[in-house]
This record gives sequence, C-alpha cells and structure tokens, in this order.
Amino acid sequence: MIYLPRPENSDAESLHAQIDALGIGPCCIEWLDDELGFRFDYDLGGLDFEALQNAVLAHDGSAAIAARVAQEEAIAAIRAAAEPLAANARAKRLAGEALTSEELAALVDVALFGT
Amino acid sequence: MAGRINLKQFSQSGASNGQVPAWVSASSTWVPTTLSGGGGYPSGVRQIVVASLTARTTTSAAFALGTSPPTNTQGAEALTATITPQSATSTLHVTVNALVGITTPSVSIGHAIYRDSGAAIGASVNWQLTNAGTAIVSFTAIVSSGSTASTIFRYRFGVETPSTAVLNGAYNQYFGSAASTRITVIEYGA
Repeated sequence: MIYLPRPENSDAESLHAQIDALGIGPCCIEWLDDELGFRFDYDLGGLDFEALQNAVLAHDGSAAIAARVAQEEAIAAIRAAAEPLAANARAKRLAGEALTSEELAALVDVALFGT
Repeated sequence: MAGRINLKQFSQSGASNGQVPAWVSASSTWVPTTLSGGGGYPSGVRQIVVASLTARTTTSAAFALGTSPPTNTQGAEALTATITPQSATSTLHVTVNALVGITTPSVSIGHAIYRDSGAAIGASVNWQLTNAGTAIVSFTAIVSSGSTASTIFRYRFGVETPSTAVLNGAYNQYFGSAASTRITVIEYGA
C-alpha cells in the first residue's frame, strides 16, 4: 500500500481517470481523512511511483465536485416536481382513469431518478 | 436405555471445552466425547479469520461479466485474508460482505474471491445499480484446506462499464467505520 497526502479538493472519478491515463492500474484507493492509500497488483517501480506522486500532487477535483453537486441539485428538483404528479397518477390508475402526458412524463422521471 | 445425566458428575469427569456427553451402555455411564462429524457435517470450528476494510475505497478497474469464472486480473484487489489451516482436511468457508456503491447510474459491479493466484472460487454481481445508489453484496466460497500451508484469500471488485465503484459508501462514505467490507474465513474441522 502506498500512502500519499490527500489533496484538498479530491474526487474519486477524476483521480482514477488520471491514474488510468498513466497506464499503471488497476488500483484501489482508500480515502482517509488526510491521506490516500493506493493498492496496486504489483510493486510500483521508481518511475511509476513518481508518475503517481505527480498525478496526486496535480490533482484538482473541484470542477468534478461542483459538477456533481449541480447534478444532484438538478435531480432533487426533478424528483420534487415529479412526485406529486406520480402520486396522482397512481391514484388515477387505481380508479381506472387515463393519465395525462404530464403524469406519464412524471412517471418516467420517477423511474429515472427515484423518489 | 441411557441413564439420567448428572451434570455435576459430568463436569467433574475431565470433560474439556467443546466436548459433549455420550452414553456408553457397557459401562452405563456418560462419557465426555468430541463430536466426530457424523453424517458428513463438519464437527466444529477450528478458527475464524476476519479481515476488514473500513475506509471508503474506490476503483475504476474493469470487471467483465461473462459465463466463465472471473480470472484473477478482473477488477482491483481491495482486501485480503490470510489463514494457516490447522488441518489439511478442513473445510474453509470464505464469505465476503460489503456495502457497495457506484458514482454513475446503471453500472454493474463485479465481485470475486480468489485463493492465492488461482481463478475465482466465488463471485457475485450488483446488476446495473441506478441513481448512484448502493447495494449489499454477500457471497460465500467453500473449499477444502488441502494443506496446512498459509493461504491467502483475495477480494477483487470492479466495474463492467467505465465508472467508479465504491466500498463502504457511494459518493460519500456512509456510517463511518461501522460500515465495513469484510472477508471472513471459517475453518471447520473434518
């Protein structure tokens, strides 16, 4: 296991992508409070270790973190809008009534993003 | 017909931990006996080895889902458990328990347990987890100890399509170190 200081804005997906691009995987990363632990299938040689160290030092996941927050906010908004229509659609179908296109769209949103 | 057992006498008869009373007609006595595995079932636990991983742990390693047992290069190794069997004829129950997640929707996570450098002896999959959700994975492999040499069980996991799989959480770690990934190896005597 190789332990390196954890960058301030670290993001799993983008850091894995950086490491994959170095061609030294596969690896697991343990996300500790102040450190990252890297487990590879083999002992990294000097050059590979240096490449990993440089990748971690250069890592800045702030854009990926911001994008994820924005996506989660968008999903929350879709859920909030869809849930009342979906609940109404369930009641209408139990009563044997046809659904509107808005209710059908809400059901698709619930299927895609949950409730 | 067996006589009534006198527990005080039995406890003073030299019985050791794990033994049970067995009726001997010839002497009309209860005799401390070690179960010998009648009926083909294991007679007792010899030892238990547990390896735990409590940190949120990620990988982007590829894990192909196919009809053959996974090879030992699928996914990435997350955790190992080493056991030195007490007997060459024991049975080893190797169980993996984990809370797993994915950071992007509709991705499948493959899991497998390997012995030393061999092919998979057990495997499981979380099929197309949605909404960056989480799931529980639990599977067991049962193998013979084969020898009393030290042996390593290796847990590997990975993603079917490009994404990032997570142990002990999804995007964030859940429940601190209370949510852990474990390999439990139980050696049963034969």
